[in-house]
Amino acid sequence: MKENNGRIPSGILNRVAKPGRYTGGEYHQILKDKAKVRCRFAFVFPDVYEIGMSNLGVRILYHSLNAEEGVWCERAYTPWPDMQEQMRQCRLPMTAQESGDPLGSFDIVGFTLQYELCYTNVLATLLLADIPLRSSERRESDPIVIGGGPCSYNPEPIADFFDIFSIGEGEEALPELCRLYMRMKEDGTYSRENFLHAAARIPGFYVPSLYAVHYREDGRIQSFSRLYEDIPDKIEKRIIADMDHAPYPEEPVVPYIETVHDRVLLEVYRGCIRGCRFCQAGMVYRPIREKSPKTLCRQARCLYESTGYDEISLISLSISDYSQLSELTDRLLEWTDDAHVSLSLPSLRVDSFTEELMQKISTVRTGGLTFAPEAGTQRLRDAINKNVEEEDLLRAVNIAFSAGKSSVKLYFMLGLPTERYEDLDGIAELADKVVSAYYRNPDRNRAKAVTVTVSVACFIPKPMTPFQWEAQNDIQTLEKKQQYLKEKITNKHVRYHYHDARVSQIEAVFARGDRRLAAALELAAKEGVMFDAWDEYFSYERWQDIFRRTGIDPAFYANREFGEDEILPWDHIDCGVSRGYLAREREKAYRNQTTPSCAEHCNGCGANRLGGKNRWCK
Amino acid sequence: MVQMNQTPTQETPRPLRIRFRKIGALQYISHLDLMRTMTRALVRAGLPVRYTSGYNPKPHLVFSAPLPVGAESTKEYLDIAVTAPVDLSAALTALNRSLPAELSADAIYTPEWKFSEIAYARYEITIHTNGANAEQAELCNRLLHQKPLMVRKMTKSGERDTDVSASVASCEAFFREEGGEIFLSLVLRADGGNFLKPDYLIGYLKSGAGILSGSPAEEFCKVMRKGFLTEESVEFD
Ligand code: SF4
Repeated sequence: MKENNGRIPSGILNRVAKPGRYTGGEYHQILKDKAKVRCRFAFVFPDVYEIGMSNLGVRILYHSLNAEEGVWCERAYTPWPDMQEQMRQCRLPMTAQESGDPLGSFDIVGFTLQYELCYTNVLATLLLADIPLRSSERRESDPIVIGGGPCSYNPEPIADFFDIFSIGEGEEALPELCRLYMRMKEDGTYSRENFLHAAARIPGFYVPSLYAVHYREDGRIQSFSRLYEDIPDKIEKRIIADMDHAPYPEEPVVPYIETVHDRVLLEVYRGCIRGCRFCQAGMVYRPIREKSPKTLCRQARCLYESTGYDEISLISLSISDYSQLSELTDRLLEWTDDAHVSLSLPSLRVDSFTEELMQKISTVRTGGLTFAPEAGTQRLRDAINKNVEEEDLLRAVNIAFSAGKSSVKLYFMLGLPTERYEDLDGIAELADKVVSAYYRNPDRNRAKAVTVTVSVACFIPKPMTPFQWEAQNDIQTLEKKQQYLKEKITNKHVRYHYHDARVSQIEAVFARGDRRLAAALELAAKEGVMFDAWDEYFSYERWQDIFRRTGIDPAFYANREFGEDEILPWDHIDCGVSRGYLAREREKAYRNQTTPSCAEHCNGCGANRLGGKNRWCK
Repeated sequence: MVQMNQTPTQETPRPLRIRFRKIGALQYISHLDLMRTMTRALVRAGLPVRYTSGYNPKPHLVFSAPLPVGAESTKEYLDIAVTAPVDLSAALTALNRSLPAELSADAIYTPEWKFSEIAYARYEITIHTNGANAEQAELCNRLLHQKPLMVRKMTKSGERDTDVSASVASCEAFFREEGGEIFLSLVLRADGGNFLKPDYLIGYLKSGAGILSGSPAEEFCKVMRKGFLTEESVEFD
């Protein structure tokens, strides 16, 4: 355990909010002898500490990088603006959490890219670290800057700022990259250029500077081509073949200050059998690979003993689709109740919400209940392939009401492809039906009035989904629909929240953007734009201004229907699911036709060709 | 994780006191963070801690007077109760294996005194300020001995000047050549309703003696709590 070496002067720590964000020294942090380290890796989560510390991907990769001989991986988080201000005034560089050494002195600086709105934070962090923003401006002595995570399925808007992207699952790929780095440093073949070229030949690594894009006059892509014959045209994502034998952090870093997910995160499986047509995660994490209950029980016990957490969260995209959920929960409950440990299932579907689960899982019993019908009518739910029926929802809420609950939250999406006004009416009607279900339920809590919260997000077309070609509704249309729904919701038991359409448009721009957006991001960063994911820092007017000054039309990216014959900015990234499958799924959406889940039969999405110990794929 | 005797027993829980330090990086975590951290450390150590009853049982922890964020301490106290007999020295070893060094425990024992017997806290404060000298230290000394001693307190209704001289049992300020710093030795009231935070006195000296006005990277003060005294000025333990 490190003693605080006083690297951040206490005068500064005493002036910023939550100084515990910056002091490090957490239980289970990993320290290494610098003399024996040949590759220093700084893993940056480009948002505030409390969010970054909660991320499962970071926990896993921190562990697998540090398991590698000669590699020391440390953590870093974007300092909150109050701290950045102090750092600028006192000329303190951006440092890593464990050693307190400046990021600029590391061999490799990796960013996990979880959402588009963190892009300005990536650049703000590089600026604080005094690392040149663009890959082309970096000198031999600067770190290699690498990105990964969900946003790397369309890395193009930030391609100019990264030397390398890791596509897909990184727990084997990143140590491999470090090994290449150490080998080239040792045998004297290392130079930035040689290393990047060699990295581009390892499966799963995309080096944007080795690919050239040309645009047509109308702004669409003319061609995308590699600069060398020995690097792939398409970069296929990496996967972990066998989840039971994958590295998993059994001694995760335990934070002192409260974080968003301050509990054991037990990853149960990867992938999703459902195939909702708007959902990127459901596509890009395929094929479906489960861990066995045996592995999970061992890991759960181990994690509990090493952390002392009192909650275990079962992580997956849809926990009820785990083929052995009953066995797993039964075996965990054999000891968790006595140890005062609660289980939480954050991704429950309505059709699997049962009385049994409600009784078994204390957080289901005590916590708030959230269901995601996503659309207001069966027609639209079929079109988006959200295989949930009204009856399922009403059955689920009745179980909850009978058990004494008096509030539920319902998630919907607005602006979905094929949406009509009657689908919005459907949202209001569905909420009404939930309210009446409460008052018709003889076992309800008679002392309480019901509250149904309707939370409505805006549809954002995401790469690698059947809806990747779809236009997002423009802001006026989205706002008109939001207002329309507001007027439709008259029931006094229903609360209505909706997302800012302007934020959703910016997200859509960066989700489907190409390399030309780099100019806007660079200008934004230099003008101090950051923390866009935080309401208090997001400014639409400023983004409009930045787009105008850099000659970018946001509608071209967000509100335009992309042609199926068009080269998409992310076409060179291969997530396993084929473009043909996505196009077929889109066609089915127009016919309101559903696709059965992978548990019923394989629909030939293509992800099975990546191999691995799959659960359902043929 | 040591396996203590975990067989449920009907015997009455036995109270235990843990004396620990909170120094270095750990001075920056809040009281709530400390509670969470200690809870988890006790679980990791496998001590048979008594849980609260009710809806959401948690280990039953009682701390002595909270320490302000940004202050260190060599003597903090935490009372727990165990539901089965434990070997005290094995428990101390297990607990320290589960705690970061900057929060390590120095002793586990059966308490004799109650927290309600705490009357005063002792503090040592070093002030690193540009051009610190003996005159400045003397000025601080004079300011601290003033009666009434009017400090600015934040209350719900805004800032208010309050006389805190009754809460300062003893104080001394002098200049320390070697560190070029002003050193304060304070004994302040620390019982429930009368708790005086040393920050108030630092703020008072800041405006009164014009110290600590420069860049926070160079000018700062370190607060170290050195334990508690009873009303009779006996060292609490
Ligand atoms: S290959 Fe078949 S079973 Fe596997 S994810 Fe794709 S559609 Fe589902």
